[in-house]
Amino acid sequence: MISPETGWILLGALSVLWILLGIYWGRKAKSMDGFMLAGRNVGLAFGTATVMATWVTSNTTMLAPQFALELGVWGMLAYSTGAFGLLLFAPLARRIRSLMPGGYTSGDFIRLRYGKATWILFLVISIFYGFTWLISMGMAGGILMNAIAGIPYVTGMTIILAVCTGYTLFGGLYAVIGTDYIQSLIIMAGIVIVGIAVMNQVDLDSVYNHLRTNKPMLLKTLQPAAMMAVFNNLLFGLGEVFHSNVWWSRAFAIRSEVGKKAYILAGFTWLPIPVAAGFIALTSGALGINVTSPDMVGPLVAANVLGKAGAVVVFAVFFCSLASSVDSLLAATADLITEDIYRKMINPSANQRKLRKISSFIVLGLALLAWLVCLPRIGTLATVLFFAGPAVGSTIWPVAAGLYWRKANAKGAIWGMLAGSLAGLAAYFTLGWYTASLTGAAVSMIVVIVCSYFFPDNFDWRRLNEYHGDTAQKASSHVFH
Amino acid sequence: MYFTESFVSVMIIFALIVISVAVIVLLALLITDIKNKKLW
Repeated sequence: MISPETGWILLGALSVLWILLGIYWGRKAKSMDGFMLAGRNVGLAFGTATVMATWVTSNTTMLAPQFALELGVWGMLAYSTGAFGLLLFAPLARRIRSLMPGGYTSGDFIRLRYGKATWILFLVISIFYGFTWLISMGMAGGILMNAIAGIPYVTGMTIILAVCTGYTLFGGLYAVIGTDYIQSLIIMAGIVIVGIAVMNQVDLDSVYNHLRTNKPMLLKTLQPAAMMAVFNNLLFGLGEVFHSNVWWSRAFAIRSEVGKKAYILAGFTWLPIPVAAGFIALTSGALGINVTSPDMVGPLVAANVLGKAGAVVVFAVFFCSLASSVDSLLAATADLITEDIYRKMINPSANQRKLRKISSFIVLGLALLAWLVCLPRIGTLATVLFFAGPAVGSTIWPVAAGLYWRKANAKGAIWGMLAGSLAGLAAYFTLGWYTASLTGAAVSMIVVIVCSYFFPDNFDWRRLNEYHGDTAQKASSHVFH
Repeated sequence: MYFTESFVSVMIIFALIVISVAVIVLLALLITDIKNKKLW
């Protein structure tokens, strides 16, 4: 698509840009509140952009076209339902901020709400999920660099992980959020440019007629598997957002008065992206493109329509969508391990300088581990991602009920997550990936509701405010010294 | 039963318009936040 030389120049330019910006914004991180939560004062523009850009992953730009190619119009719509995760998390973000003004992680909430046993199980699920997501991003990076610019898989994957690790280490969440803003603009502009170019090349009429003649199944309104995928993706998305520290850290970081608005705006901004990306894939037949690997259909079409310029745009879009997610995952997972495992379980008296050092080591360790796992190509992107689906789906109810329902209790949460994960995994292997999250969420819901009915708790919400609202005093004590 | 051509066309064009508007909205929000000193 583009020569390796052009690929190297692009890769180098974008890498240097993100690292320099990371260093620039990172100078603001003078405390742990700054490093982990960008000072808890992020405005609406950066807040919306970081939520949106983080949710646009390489999976959105690679899997959404694959969904469209395999499941048709329903596939595009199914992937779009991921936006409901952000939209429904919006009120939760406001509630989280008001109940836990001094909170740091999603683990903090589970520990204070349900106790130690549930907390440990939650951490296992959350870290497993975060790591799985990170691996799928690393693998996607290597595959894309190879497909678009001919850069060897291992080299491309290594550079992407190294660059994101670099600027996350320098600037923490300040660097992550700042770069996310620019990345979100590049992603959206790139998708519109490719979409319009495709429409100029082949009219919608020809695309529709080609599909109607050659692949009518993709236009069918009644496709049981695809319709299951709609609900599965919706619940997977909900589970991903509700439990993951990636989203909780942003709920803590964005100003309390704009958090809800930022999530709603980001949800509506994200909603059309899988449709646009899916459309690009559906045109492949009418354009006469031979698709050898379904997850590469997006870049193939873009390069075919726009030539070298298209490949450059696609390269930038993919690099940004990868970077905006990898940096967030590294930062949020490292926060979870530093705060919940190191500070709460191993060394409660650690000072801020020590915590910052540990956090840096954890970011490096996570990146190194992800790199090792990514070295061989494990399977298709969908296989890697959806394997975490059952566990993720099973966290929706413990989190949502725990935030709003006093009667929700530890029994329901822990058994809901366990039974939901196991049932979901059984569905994954016996019925198909598209039923796993659905089953996990349904079983977990039943367990949480039944346990709340038979063993009702009467939770005092004030217990969630671990620092008794004295955030200012706490923040000042978090300056590195 | 198949999705109609007009449904598919409207959905795709609408998606591209919404993404374009979102870019403008994000830029406008950035300017507003900078003006009000509420960026960070």
